[in-house]
Amino acid sequence: MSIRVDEGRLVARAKRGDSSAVAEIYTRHHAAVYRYVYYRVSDESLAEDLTATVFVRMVESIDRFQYRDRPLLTWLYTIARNAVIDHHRRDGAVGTIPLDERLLESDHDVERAVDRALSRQRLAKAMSHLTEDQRQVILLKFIEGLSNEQAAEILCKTIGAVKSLQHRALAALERALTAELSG
Amino acid sequence: MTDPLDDILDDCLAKLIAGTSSLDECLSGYPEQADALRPLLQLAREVGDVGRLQMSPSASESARERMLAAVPDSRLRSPARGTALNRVASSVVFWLGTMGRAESRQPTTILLHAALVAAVLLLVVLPGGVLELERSVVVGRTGALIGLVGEVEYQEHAGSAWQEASVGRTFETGWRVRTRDGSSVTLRFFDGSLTVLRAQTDLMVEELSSRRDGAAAVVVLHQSLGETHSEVQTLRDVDSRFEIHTPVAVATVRGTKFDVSVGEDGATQVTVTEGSVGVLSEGKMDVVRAGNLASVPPPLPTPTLRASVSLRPTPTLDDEFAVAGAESDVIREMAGRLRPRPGRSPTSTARPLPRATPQPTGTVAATTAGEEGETPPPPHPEHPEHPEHPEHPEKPDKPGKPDKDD
Repeated sequence: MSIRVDEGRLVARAKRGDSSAVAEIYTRHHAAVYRYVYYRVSDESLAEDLTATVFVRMVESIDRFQYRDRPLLTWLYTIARNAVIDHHRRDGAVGTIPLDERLLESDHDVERAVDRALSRQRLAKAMSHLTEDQRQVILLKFIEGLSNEQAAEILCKTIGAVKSLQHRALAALERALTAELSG
Repeated sequence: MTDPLDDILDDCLAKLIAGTSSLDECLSGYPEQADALRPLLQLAREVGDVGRLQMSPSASESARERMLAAVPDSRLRSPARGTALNRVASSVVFWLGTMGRAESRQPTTILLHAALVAAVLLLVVLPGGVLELERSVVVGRTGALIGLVGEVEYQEHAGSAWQEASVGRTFETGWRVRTRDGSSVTLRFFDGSLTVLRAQTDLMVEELSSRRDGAAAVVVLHQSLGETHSEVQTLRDVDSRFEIHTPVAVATVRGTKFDVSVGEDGATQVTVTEGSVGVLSEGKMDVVRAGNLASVPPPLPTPTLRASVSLRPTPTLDDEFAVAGAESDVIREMAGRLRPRPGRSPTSTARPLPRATPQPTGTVAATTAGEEGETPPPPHPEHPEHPEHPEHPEKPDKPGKPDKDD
């Protein structure tokens, strides 16, 4: 069974109120949604809360959702983007990035954990200087590990446009990180 | 217009991601663009290394619960079933009406009609009651191992063979797990709460249950040895509880993070990192707040008694923890003030407390002592401060001291 057919059936079951189908969608996509949100709010706790909001909204609106042979993740990203926008409208400024306590708890190599947490903070901060498309192509290609074809589907672009976008996004990200270090 | 570097960069990225070439090997194929490509390729690799963060397991489970709570419960709504029943009821009523018109109003006919109407009403009304009843039934729940390091073993039930545990293994009431030296394992319970067993820890799952609708979630663990760290979801209702029993104490919470450490002699330490925990020992409850620690010394060598009690929520204490009903004067008095729990006897699972055996050192030493206004239990006769103790200055039969009653 192709991924699309499988996903289409999953959505159909979820539309009928099948909680196991809803749970399956969550299992497949919550991590990607969480990272998408995190790189927009730069706060792990807030990202967790907004991720929950995204999936609640998904459940609430899946009746009206029409599956049109595009990755479900595209729709979830749209919900996530709106949830982040709503949050910023409601609360204003972007939150700070707390020290990654869970990482510290789970990683016995504390120094390495701190390095990774700080690197992630720098990355999140630098990502905030990118355009929406640039940020998303970085996320899809280098964090989610998607192929050009998969990224193109989600971004609704051609593969050539994705290649060009990832080039500009990496260059912009490098400039942002360099500026942060020098400034 | 397409930049040729777009394709070159993409080619190198594909090789790096696939692991078919090193960075230098990629760049050697494009010497003229190497300077421009190197920082971008290095950056792409670093982003992949640090960027892939995960939700914490507890937050992930909590989000899942929130989402599933938003799913309309089609089973409970039962639109199809209700509609079918309504159609049947309508048909029977129509049929009765037809019969009533066709036949004379004989008493037997009226009785028959009344019985049929009652049956129809039962058919229409009963499903809701049955479903409500079904929702309130208490059922056994499960958990799963979501993280494991080193050597971890489990028993399906007491007395069964020890088996090697692996991630994904589910468990239920009666299950026991132990970690070897340098090992750890994370248990996720059905309500999303987590308990991490550190090395050399032995823990038994005494109860995992909830109502069928998810209310009254109960997690009761018995930790006989070692160290655990627990992250407890905020409990949904007063009938929900999360408890860790040790040989000398019971830690009970309503949504918090805390550690329990049990020595080989049973001595217990409860360290609270978030929220508050009620620690019960010898019938005395202490509330341990975040950042504090409670120590319960080991029992005397002779007893094998356990401070295992049934904990009950109380409206008179801190909302964040529940208090126990147990066989002690203090707890019995508290239990009398508590709300009855549907379907459970107030002392149905109470077991003897160590107070039955002299244990002069068996009180909770918490940094929060005195802050909560809890009434301390009367000193034991063998306690130096007890009037009956030989060393007590007011001991009635102490030489040179007249008996007060005389």
